[in-house]
Amino acid sequence: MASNLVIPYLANPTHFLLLTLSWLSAVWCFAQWKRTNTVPWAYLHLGLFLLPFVHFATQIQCDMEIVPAIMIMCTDYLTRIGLFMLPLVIGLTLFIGYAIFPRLYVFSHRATRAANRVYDHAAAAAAINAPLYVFDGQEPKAFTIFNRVFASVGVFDLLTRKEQEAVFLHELGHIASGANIQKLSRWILTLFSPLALFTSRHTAPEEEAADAFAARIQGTTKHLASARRKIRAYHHHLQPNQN
Amino acid sequence: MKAHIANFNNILSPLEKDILDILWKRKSCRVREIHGVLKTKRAVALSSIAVLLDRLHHKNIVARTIETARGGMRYVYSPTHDQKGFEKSVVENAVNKLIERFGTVAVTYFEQRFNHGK
Ligand SMILES: [Zn+2]
Repeated sequence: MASNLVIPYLANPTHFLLLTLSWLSAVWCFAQWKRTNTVPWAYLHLGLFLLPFVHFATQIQCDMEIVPAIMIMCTDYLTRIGLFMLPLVIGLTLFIGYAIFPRLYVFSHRATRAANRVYDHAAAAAAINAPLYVFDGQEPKAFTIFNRVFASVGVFDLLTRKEQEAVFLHELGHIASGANIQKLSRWILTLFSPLALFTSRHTAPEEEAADAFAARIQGTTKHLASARRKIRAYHHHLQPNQN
Repeated sequence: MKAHIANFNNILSPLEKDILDILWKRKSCRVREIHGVLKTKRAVALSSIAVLLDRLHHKNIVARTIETARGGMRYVYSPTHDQKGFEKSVVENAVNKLIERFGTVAVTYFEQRFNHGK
C-alpha cells in the first residue's frame, strides 16, 4: 500500500530534490548540534528530517472510486493524518517534558520552594535565576530539572555551608549548560530521528563541566570533593551490616 | 535491665541502641548533637548516624520534624515511645508474631507458662 504511493511520489524530480536537500541539510544540522551543543540545531535537524514526510502526506489523496461508505476507512488517509500528527506529537513531547514533568516532580516529591541564604548566595555568584525546591529526605541529594534545583533536607543537615555551596554551584552549572534540555532533546531525537544512534549517552562530560563551573566560582575543588565524600559515605552506610 | 535490653540486639544494632538511649534522655536531638555525644565514646561518622536515624524513622521508632534556622534547615529527631513504651511494643510485636505463626500452640504455651508462674 505505502510503496504504491512512495514510488510515484519520488518519481517526481521536484519531490526527489526536496527529499535529498532536506535530508542532507538535516545531517548537516545534526553535525552542528554535535559540534556546538546548541539545542536549536537538534530541532532544525528534526524538522528537516521530517519535512519530506510531511510533504509526502500532503500529496496523498484518497481514491475517490472507493465506495463513499468506506471512505472513513481509507488507509491512505490515515497515513496522511499520521504524518501530519508527527510534528504535533514532537511539540507535545517537548511541552510535556519541559512544562509538566518538573511540576510532576515537585508534586511527587512533595518538594516546597524554599528560601535559603547559602543557595541564594550561590545562585547570585553563578548569575543564574533558578528557584530552589527542598524535599523531605535524610540522604543528601541534589539534582536539577530544567531550571529548578532540588535538594533534600539532608544536604543542609549533613554538609557544611561551603559544601552546600559547592553542591548548589554544581547543579547551577547544569542549568548554565542546559544539561536537562540537552537530555530531553537527545531523548526526543531517539524517538524520531535515525541519526540519534550517533548521539552519545555519556554523562561524564556534563558532570565534569558542572564540577568545573563550581570550582571556577568557588576557586577550589576542595568543598565539592568533601561534599562528594560525605554523600558517598552515606551510601556506603546504607548497605546492610554497616553501622 | 541491661540484660533485658541485650535481647533487643536483633531489633536494634548496638549503635542504634546508643542513639535511642541519647534520644530517650534528651527527648529531641539534631543529627549533629547525637554525633557530638557518640563520637566521644567511639569512632563513628556523622553520615552513619544519619543513615541509622533515617532507618529508625522508617520503622516508626523515631519521629522527625524539619527545623528551619538561620539560613539553614535540619531534622530534629525524637523517640515515638519512651523506653518502657518501646520495650512493651517490642514484646507485643514478638508475641503477636509467635501467635500469628504458631496459633494455638503458642497460646497454649503461654497459658501453661503463666500458670506455672503463678
Ligand atoms: Zn551533576
